[in-house]
Amino acid sequence: MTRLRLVAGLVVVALAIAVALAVGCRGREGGEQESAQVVDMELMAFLSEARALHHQANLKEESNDLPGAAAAMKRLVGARRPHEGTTTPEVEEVLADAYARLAELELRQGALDAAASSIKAGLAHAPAPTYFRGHLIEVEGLIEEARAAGLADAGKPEDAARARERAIELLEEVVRIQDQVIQRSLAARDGGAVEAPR
Amino acid sequence: MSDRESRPPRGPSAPIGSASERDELDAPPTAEEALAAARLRDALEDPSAAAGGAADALELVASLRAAWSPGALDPGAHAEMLDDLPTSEEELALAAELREALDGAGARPEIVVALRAAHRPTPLADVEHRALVDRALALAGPREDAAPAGGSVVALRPRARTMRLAVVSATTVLALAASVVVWLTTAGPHDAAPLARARSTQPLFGAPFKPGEASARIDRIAMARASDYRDNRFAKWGVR
Repeated sequence: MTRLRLVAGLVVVALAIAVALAVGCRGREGGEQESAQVVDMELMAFLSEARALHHQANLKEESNDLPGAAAAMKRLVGARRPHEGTTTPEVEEVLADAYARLAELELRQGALDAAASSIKAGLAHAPAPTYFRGHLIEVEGLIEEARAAGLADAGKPEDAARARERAIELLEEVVRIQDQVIQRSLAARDGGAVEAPR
Repeated sequence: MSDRESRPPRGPSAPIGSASERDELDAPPTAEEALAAARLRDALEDPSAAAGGAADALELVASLRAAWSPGALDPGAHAEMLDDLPTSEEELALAAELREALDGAGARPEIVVALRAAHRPTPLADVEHRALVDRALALAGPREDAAPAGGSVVALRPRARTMRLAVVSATTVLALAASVVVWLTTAGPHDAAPLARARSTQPLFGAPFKPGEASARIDRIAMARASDYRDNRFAKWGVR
């Protein structure tokens, strides 16, 4: 009985070592590769939906239906996302861009607070310095610029000056971000590790 | 002598062939046969009456009677028949003692226990079994690996055997585990074509975004990823 227990214990220990080694080797080998989602049907469905809504917004804009165009973008930012619970870069960037366009549409309708709110939501999807984040902050700067003009027209020069100052800061930040992105993009391209623009 | 006595004897298995032979068997007894039959009947009815006739007839009568209706022999006749039957007083006393020991329930001599166990073995009582084991262990000596002083128990050196078994088992299992590791780490991903994975779309754009180009950007993103998706499907189908 004691001998059986000893042998059983050895078998369990050896198998545990084998499984640990195997899992470790597999994890080291393909860890980074496994962490990203494959470009699959779900992602493509979301991108297709986003494309359709953007073009729908185009048509609305062409017919001067800005609320209709904004509604299309709101549908996009509220659409069901692929692989819920995980972060997919394409989805995050498409959402950031959709919020930026929504803010532009709201800005054109004079809804400055709504536009600022859309920018804030969009920035949550673009935390790193990218063209997407730069574009969002650029629109935010335009919103503050419009706010400054409105305040000046309303006879509030001091508030208008603060809004103007805020707009200048935001647009300066845009310059920094875009410069940073361009530098990094050029460095990556020189290293041959970048996807060529199509 | 009659005609039938003069004819040759016929074997028991010889078939009765002709009708004349059957007629001879059914023929009435001769005077000599009738006389012999009468003597046998008289002897069966009263054996003492046949004493004057023939000792052979008496023996035949006794045999026939014993075969037909066997009865108990008297001890004297039985003793005469068996040479090895104990006849002395001492032997009879020993036989009586053995019979009582076999039938009785008290303490028995060792020979009685051995005879009974050989003839009809029964499980040992716990106390008796414990006593046997204790006696064997006591003879084996105080150390596990020590040779017995004079007993019949031999130490098997279990520790050394267990160690050998453990080494062999561990080596076998580790070899198996190593083969599993090698198989798991070498098969699969190396054989499959790499699939395009989700990633930033930033590299698709060579310059900061311009106002009014939002749909152009999503067009570019969608087309680029559609190409990846198509490649992935071909890769999964094994086409490259």
